[in-house]
Amino acid sequence: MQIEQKQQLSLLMDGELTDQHVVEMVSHDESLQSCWHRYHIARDAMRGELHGSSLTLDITKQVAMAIADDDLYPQLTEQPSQSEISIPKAENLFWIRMKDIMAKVSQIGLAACVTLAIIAGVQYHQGQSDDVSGAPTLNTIPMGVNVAPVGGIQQHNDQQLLEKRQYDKIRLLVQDYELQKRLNAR
Amino acid sequence: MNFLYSLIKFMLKQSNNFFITLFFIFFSASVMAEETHDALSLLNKMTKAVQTRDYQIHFIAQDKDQYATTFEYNHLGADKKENINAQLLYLEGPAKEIILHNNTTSYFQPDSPSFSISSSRITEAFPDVIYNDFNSLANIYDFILLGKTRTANRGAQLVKVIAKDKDRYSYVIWIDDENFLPLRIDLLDEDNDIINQLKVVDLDKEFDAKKFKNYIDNRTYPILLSIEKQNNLLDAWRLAWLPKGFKEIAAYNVNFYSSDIATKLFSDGVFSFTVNVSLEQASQLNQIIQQGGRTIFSTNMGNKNIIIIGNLPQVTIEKIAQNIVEKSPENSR
Repeated sequence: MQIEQKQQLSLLMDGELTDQHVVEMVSHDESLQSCWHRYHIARDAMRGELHGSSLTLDITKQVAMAIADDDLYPQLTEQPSQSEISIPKAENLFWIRMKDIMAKVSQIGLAACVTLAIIAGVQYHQGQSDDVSGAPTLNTIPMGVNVAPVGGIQQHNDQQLLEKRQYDKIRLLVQDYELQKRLNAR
Repeated sequence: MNFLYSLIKFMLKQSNNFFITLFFIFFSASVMAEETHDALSLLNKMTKAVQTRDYQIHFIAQDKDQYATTFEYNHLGADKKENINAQLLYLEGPAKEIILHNNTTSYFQPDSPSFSISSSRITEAFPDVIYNDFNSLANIYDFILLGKTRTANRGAQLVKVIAKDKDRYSYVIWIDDENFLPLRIDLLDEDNDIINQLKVVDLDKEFDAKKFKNYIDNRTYPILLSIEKQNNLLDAWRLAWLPKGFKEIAAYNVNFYSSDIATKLFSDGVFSFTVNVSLEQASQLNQIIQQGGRTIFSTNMGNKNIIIIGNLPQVTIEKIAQNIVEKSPENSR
């Protein structure tokens, strides 16, 4: 982003700029919008006016992106010709091979897993900044605490790990169920 | 005298009614029996046709509230299982292909290595219900003819397969009038909502069986992944109650984070489920995930976590979970 634009943004925030052009520019530029958002957070924090409830960290975008990234409609990857399809070696890496076979399986609890990953990600990030900053010049911790209840429940990190593990377990067992059904088909 | 006459007349009338009633009872019973018999023989013909005929079909498969997926299925029938050849092609997304040859099923996919497992059927095509000896299911299921209709540009008969105990989902199968192939298979829940559907779009009459056989025979197949029999099974629990007709099919351990999960697979030929008992408890007491016909139920019991996965209604799955008993006190930790 242009430094010039940022300066104009800063001026606009201080009320020293009444140029309609800048407002229009901001309304069309997403990166400027997020910059605007950040400036406000920074200002509130410096003035000590920041409290958790006033700040809702916008993770809807992240959720949307995670969902968009997710391979719901698998794109056609490079298509090898029949002769090129590799024949695996004799190592018994069974689960690795089974992994994506049953398309239905891989979608199990997808929504839940996405949400979980994002919550964990946010918390991890804040945990880090917690360690580094130490000094309460910019106290961002209160808002961190408020980020968690996307699913409506406040949870601790340990619990989320446990839940992740439970999902892994369910995923494995669903794959196993599908495999056993095939092996025992009459 | 007059009285006697009227009494005889009355009795005659009564017996007349009685005979009429009797007639209707027997008649309707025989009609019902015939209908069941028709439905039963139709289903048996279907099972035979699906395995012994040569055919090419295109079909759509769909879970409730999910996107439909399209497939091509080629089949070379035979009386002996090991001689059956089949191929399933995914018509959208990555070009996956599944081939059945010599009781072995090979999976080919563009994005990861291919492999084979020993399986006598491509279960991604028709569901388990299609492959049954329906005579042996007659004690557990009712077979009801629902009438005639048309699908995939062909005449078809509708047969409902429903458990007598009403503790399972039910199927409505559309069977081709001429060749007895299943043309549509609806899985219905307790409210008679379709939760999974397989629908044949067309049946290719110009299917070149020879050419297909040639293709199967000249293909290179990936190595067979062997699944070894396990010896040290954690045999710590059993089920005090099972839905009628279900039997234990397999028992084994699944390794997860260096701990073993004791697993058993049960089936009645139409539906199936696994019970998985592990020592690591889940953070949530009860969890339920439903997806098309599949139900996943996780619950904590005592110091154990129990996960049941299968194509059964939630009520039945929960009842199964409640009936898990530990085999002997020494085994409980």
